[in-house]
Parts: sequence; structure tokens; C-alpha cells
Amino acid sequence: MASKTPKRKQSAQRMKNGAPPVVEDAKLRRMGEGEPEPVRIAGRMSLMAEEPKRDEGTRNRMAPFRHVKSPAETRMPKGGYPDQEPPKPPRRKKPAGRASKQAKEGYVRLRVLVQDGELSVVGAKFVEGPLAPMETLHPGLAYEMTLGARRIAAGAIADAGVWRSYPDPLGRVEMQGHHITEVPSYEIAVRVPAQELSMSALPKARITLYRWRGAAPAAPFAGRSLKAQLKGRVETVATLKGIRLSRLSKHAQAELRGALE
Amino acid sequence: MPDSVTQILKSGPPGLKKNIAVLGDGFAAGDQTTYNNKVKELLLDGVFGHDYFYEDAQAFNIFRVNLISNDSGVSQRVYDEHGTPSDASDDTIVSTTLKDTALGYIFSGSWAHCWLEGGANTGTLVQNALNTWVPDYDLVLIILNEPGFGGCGGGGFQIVTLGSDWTVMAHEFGHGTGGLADEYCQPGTYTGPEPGAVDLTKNTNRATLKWKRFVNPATPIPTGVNATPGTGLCTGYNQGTPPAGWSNDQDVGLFEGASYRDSGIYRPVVNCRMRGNWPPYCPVCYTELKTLMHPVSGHSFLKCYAGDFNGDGKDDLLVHNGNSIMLFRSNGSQLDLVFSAVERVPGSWQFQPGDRFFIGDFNHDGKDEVVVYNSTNWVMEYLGLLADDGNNGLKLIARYDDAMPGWQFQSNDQYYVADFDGDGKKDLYVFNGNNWAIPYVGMLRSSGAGFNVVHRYDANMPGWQMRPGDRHVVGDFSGEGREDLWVFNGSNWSVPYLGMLRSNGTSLSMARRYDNKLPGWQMRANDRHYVGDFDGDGKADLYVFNGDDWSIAYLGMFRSLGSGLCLVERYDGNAPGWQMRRHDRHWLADINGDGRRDLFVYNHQDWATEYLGTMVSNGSGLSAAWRADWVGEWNLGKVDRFEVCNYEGVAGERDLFVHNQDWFGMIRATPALSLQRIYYRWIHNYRYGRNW
Repeated sequence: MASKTPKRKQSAQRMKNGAPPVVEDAKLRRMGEGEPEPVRIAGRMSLMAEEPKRDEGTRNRMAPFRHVKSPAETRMPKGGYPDQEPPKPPRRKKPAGRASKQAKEGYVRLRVLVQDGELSVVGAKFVEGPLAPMETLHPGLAYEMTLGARRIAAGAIADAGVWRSYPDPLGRVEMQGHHITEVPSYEIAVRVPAQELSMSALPKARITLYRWRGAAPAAPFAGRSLKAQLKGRVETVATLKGIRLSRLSKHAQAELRGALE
Repeated sequence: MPDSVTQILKSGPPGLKKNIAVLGDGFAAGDQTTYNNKVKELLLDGVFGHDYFYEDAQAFNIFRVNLISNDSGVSQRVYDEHGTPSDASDDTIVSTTLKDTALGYIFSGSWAHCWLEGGANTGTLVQNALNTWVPDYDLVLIILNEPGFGGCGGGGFQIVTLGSDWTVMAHEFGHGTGGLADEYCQPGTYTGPEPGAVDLTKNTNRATLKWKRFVNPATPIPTGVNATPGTGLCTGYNQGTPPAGWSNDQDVGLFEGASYRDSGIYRPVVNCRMRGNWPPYCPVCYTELKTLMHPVSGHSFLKCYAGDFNGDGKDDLLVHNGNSIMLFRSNGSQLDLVFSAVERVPGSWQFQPGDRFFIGDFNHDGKDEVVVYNSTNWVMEYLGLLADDGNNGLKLIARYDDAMPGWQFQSNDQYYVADFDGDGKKDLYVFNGNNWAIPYVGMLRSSGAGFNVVHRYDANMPGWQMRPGDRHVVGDFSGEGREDLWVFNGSNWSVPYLGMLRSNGTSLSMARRYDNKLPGWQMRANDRHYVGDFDGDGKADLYVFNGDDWSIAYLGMFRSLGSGLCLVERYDGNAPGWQMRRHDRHWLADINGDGRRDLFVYNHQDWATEYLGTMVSNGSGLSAAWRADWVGEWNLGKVDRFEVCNYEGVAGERDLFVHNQDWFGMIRATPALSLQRIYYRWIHNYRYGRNW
């Protein structure tokens, strides 16, 4: 709560004890000035009767109320109540090819292998539903995916490249803490909104994996590349310039097609 | 039995949450209950049943995949460690006994071999299972049907045995979720650059220390110094004597030894979860996790409700966010989390963004219960009654789907909490003026375990013809111990009407109807009514405010005579100590605890700055006081929302919860308006410092 509230126009007043009443609208009367005049509703006077008549209509009414002297106690069904019933989803036409998949709200999850300073796509999957905007980063690895100069995805990778054995439960001195094993290769997940990526765009797509140091920024990054925004604190671990289907395994090709088409 | 998946924590779409996939290996068809129980023990009751992950459960989904192995138990491997169990380089395999399991893991029980390892096809089998069953995952937990101790983590994966407990797993999730570093110590001196991890530093300068905001100025820096490097021990507080009440996991200093070194590198506390597994995360690690996961959790302070849910006389806080609720207990000056439920509470009630909450003691047990109504997120309307579960939380005790006998729910049902039969149990009035051809009013009496309709008015009440624009307030104007119904309509007739309908416990009768005028008051369409006993005589009186329909604002005080009203005071433009304006908003309270209902008043629109005020009744008039722009550290703004409450547990109702998207404040009005506590983005009481 550091910032002051933006103030309104300079002429706006401050409250003052003993000041006269503030006139909000001089065209309006004060209470007691003149007799109150009934207003016409739809062109006619409409006044409430002293004893209104019973309703005798039948359409769009609740079922008649029957007074019960000793109503039954509410009893919880054994095992609790059943799940509440969600509304039925709107009927959808049968999907037809890529256009319908891109039209669906969803994102593509790319599995990217990091090995010997190189990145390669080893799998892909289309996931239905919204994708959160770029998350807050923290020290360690981060990826970004670009199409030309435009970033289409970015994210943090919290824990990669090592295996840690759990500490010894007997507390033997040489086995306290983890036994760390660095692994020569590991996978990261790259999530990109489905509407941002198509089969034809794959050769132009670029994925870069960064390692950066320092405290986490207070706010998510703007649209510029991570490297430009983290000058001096970021090093490039690996880059994949263009995803070429022919260079992928048959399995990865099939998954990519399934995810994008 | 085929393989299957069950989502056991449902927080939201996978693309908006962190997703945990749980797989089992070596569990045959007959072992699935063992597997399911272990998943519950480790994750739901363990990791997500404690401190940080309990608080932020709404940031995670958990998918339990039941894979059926042909064999029960996992493959085994025996190493000859040659007397050096911490060094794998000289180990040789003595034997390997393979089993036919879903994922092909091999347990060795050797620390230097990560206790276990994958078989020839394990990587592919794991990937196939994930591809098949979990749409997207961030963290993977694999449980082996092996009773011995063991666990291996990294890259977002954890593979554990039945012999593992949740605390190590929570530690590992600290790596996988927050990028937190290990704070273990081993012999050696750190000589590298400043570490990137938030919980490690080589810096011993208090002024530039990365976690300086959590360090009490009285705490020496460094706080623990290793005088004998090479022993592999983590230092404790050894620079002086720790002050009384010092906490080894929540009081922050600078302690030498971390990240597998015992000197040259420091950690924030003596024993955080990133070192000792069992303690909760220290303030530094906790804050990092909260900061990273806050956007994922979807938490805000927009929907807050006050109620005394444990009956200690102090109002607590219920926060609703999407498909979750959290309860925070007041100790009189601060709030602490006691209950967090994602997606549903036992019973069951499934929370949704459109849930509306009504708080009151519906069973006369001295604790507040919660009525929750949803008319927007399901195929039909639901009304539920949530009560104390005996463990600081809530459970559903009654639910009505679509209707209850005598009342058909509709989207525009409006509920009013009132004890209309005087039995000490709060009941409900319900009005619907829009969804039917005629308006309806229902009287829903609480039995303590549910509701039943004791009377329904169709189109008319005695002496009152209902219209869609009817507005209701409740209050016992007759002083008979039953809360009556007041109804006003200023828009559907040629003149405004105010009706006072007395409750006899099962029905209503018109005590007095005012047409066009109250004594000394010309009624207008925008009159706003606040019913409260402002003179302390046991009968609910009436405040009326109108800031729109006249050239100046008016506030009237009308005393209840039991079956009618008389004017006590009318303020034209000004009340003593408060200049009234068009957009004044009021809340009933008892600010000085004298048994007379007073008013809080707020205006953020009509002046150069915002004003929050108190208007205290002496029974026949008001005296006001106010704060402008700031109440302590709280910067008043147009987005602020207020809940009158009594979080202090003193006489009256003199407190306010003030809240908006990111901020939450506790304001007390006596002896003067002041801020007692302020929280940003989450409620946590740091022992020193804060998260902004």
C-alpha cells in the first residue's frame, strides 16, 4: 500500500466540520419543499390496495404450497449427497481437421530433450483448455519459444538435470543429505497456445533454453526476449532453430501431427 | 482390472494449474487399495495436509493413475558396496531378480544408487503411461510396491517406496515447485559465486543480504558461524544467546552451512524443511513458494465473509476463491489459517465461482454456520448448509437440489438471514420477484439440521402487494424476540411504500404500512434502509438515507414503537462530525459496545479523497468521526470492500475487515479508527518482516 490514491480534480473538496450542507444538485428540491407528487407508471396512477387480491393465475407459478404441521427432518443420504450436476456442454459439430483443432481452446505440450547442448523435440500432445500466461520465473532454467521476433511461449523449469537420492533414514554420516547424480540428458516441457503454432510454422519456430541467476523479478516479463531483459544474468544453454519434421523420430512426428493437425 | 485414472485433487484446468501425476509400479490388481491408501497418506494427508501445500492446494491438480502390474512387488537388485555405501563407483551387482511390473523399476536399497533404478524399458513405459492418462504434468510421483525405505528425485520426478514418508516428499516438492536449494551440510568450503537460489547466500552483509527483510535487527549477522570447518555440521545459533521464544524454523538469521558445504555459504534458518524435512518451510522458502504459486492458485481477497465459526466470540474469516474456501481463525488481533478446502467439503458441496454465502448460527450452538446457494454454475440450483466438522473446518449437513418442499429455487432468489421464530436458530426469508409470473416470499425455518418452508406468500403478503422491485431488510421491530420483515418499494408504484411485517414464527402480519411518507420524511425511490436497535430498547429501529433524490443528502433516525415508527432525528446535509454526500455508503455496527446500533460510513467518490467514518448513536442522535485517505497503512480506495465484524471478541461489533484484490486489513474503530493488521496477497504472520 505504498502509493497514494490518485486524487480527483483539483476543485474537489475536503470534508470540514461546521461547513454548510453540500448541494449535490441545485435543480432538485429539498425535503419539505412542496407536496410530494405521485408519478405515473406507464401513463397511469398505480397505487397499492390496502388488502391486495389473491393471485388467481396459473401460468409460470410455483406448485401450490401445502402447509405441513410436522415437516420431515432433512436427512443426509448415507455416503453423502451425489455430485452436483454440471450443465450440459453446448453441442459441437464434428471436428474437421486442423482448422477445428486450432479453433478449440487448447495448447500444445512439447517434450523437448536437452542433450549435449542441443534441443530436440521428442513428443507432443494437444491439451484442451486455457493456458495460463507466462509464469513468474525463478533462478535456474527458463525457456522461450519464438516465431521470428515474436515470443509465443515462455516458462520456468524448476528442477532439471540431476537425480537426488533421499537422505538415509538411519542418519549414517556419509549418507546424510542427497546423493547427487548429474544426468547427461533430461526433458523439459514447452507449452505453447495451439493457435500460435501450426505445422507450417514449425520450421520457423525457435526454442531457447536459458540459465539465469539472481533474485526472481517482481513481475512477469514483458514481450521482449528473456536475454534482452536479463542482460548479464543469463546464459544460453541450448537452442533449437526450427523444428524440422523429417529430423524427428517417427513417433515424435506422429505426435506432433496429432497435436497440431 | 484395466488401468485407470482418478483425479483426486481438482483445482482447475491443467493449463492453469500445476499438475501432479501419480503412478504405481508393482501393484497387482489385489494391491490397488494399498496403493490408493499410500497415495492418500503421502499426498492428500501428508504433503497437502500441512502448512504451505495445504494453503496453496488450489494451485495443484493431482491425477492418480492405477496401473495394474502382473506381479506384486518390484524387481530387486543387490549391490556389493565393498564397504563404501556412499560411493557407487566401486559397486558391483551381486544379483538381480526381475518381476513383471507396469513400469519395470528395480529396487536396490543402495543410497549411492538413488535407492532404486529404472529397467531397460522404464523410461518408455513411464512416458506411455503419462501420455495415456495425464493430459499435462509438471511433477510426477511414482510409488513402488516395496516396503523398504528409498526415494529418488529430480527433474520433477520422485520415485519412492512404501517405506517413505511425506516429509521428504514435501522437501522434494520444494525443489520441483520452487527451485529451492538443499540446505544440507557436508564437509567443504564454498568458493563459487553468489548462488541464485533464494535460500542460499555467501553474503554476510546485513544491508545487502537477500533475505534481510525477514531478519530482526536484534539478530546478529551472521547468526551461526562454523568455527571448525570440515566437520560437515550445520551451525545453529552460536553468536550469542538466542532470545526467548526463538524458533529454529521461523526466526531468520544467517547460518553457516548449506548446499553440501559446511562453510563459506549460508542458509536463512537453523532448520528449514529444505534441511530437516519435518519442519515447515522457513519464511524465505515459504515466501518464494507463495510468490511463485500465487498466480497459479487464483487466490484473491475479493470474496470475504466474517463469522464466528468456532464460537469463541471472535469473528473469523471465510475467503472464497473459485472452487475453494479457506477459513482463518482470529485470535483477537491476527488471523491464522485453520481450514482449506478445494473443490468440495465432505457431504458433499462442490464449490464454484457463483456460490453465494450467508453466515449465521443456524443451529443455536454458539458457532456460525454457512448457507451456500448456487444458481449459476450447475444444471439446477443448489442450497447447502455447512456446519463445523469438529476439526476447525466445515462439512455439508444438508443440501437441497433444485427445490425443497414448498419452494422451487430460481436464479434470482434473494436470501435474508433472520431468526423469525425466536428459537435462537437463524432462519431464512427468501424473495423472488423476477423468475415467476408473480413474486414470492418464503419463510424457511431452520431445524438446526436443515430447513423447511413454514409459509409462502404468492403475489401478496398481508396488506402488501408484492412487486419485482421490492427490497427487504430484517429486524425485530416489535421487540418480541423474532426478527420481522421490512419491505420497501420505491419504483413500481406511483408513490413509495414501506411495510413492517411482524413475524409470529410461522407467518407474517402487516403491523404498519407507510404510503409516500414516514413521520417527518418524504419517501423517495432511492431511500436506503438500515434496520438496527439504535436506542437499545430491544426493538429494531430504522435509519433511512437518501443521497440521490434531493438537492442535499438526508439521513433519518426512526424509533420503533413496536408497531410503527416515529422520527427521532433527521439530518439535512450534515450529521455532527460528518458532511453527508450523495455516495455515502453505510453499514450497521455497534462501535462503542453500548448495545445501540451505530453506523460505519464510507465515501470514496464525492470528495478530494476517501473518507471512512463512524457514526455513533446515543439513542436519539449521532456523532461522527472519520479518517481521510489512509487508516494507518491502509490506503483507502474505490476498490475497497468492508465487512463489519467483531474479530477482537469484545463487546459490540466495532471492527471491519477491509479487502480488495490483493490486500486485506483488520480495522478497529475503538478508541479511534486504526489499522491493526495488514496482509498482502496471502495471510501469514511472519515473526519478523513481511512479504512486500
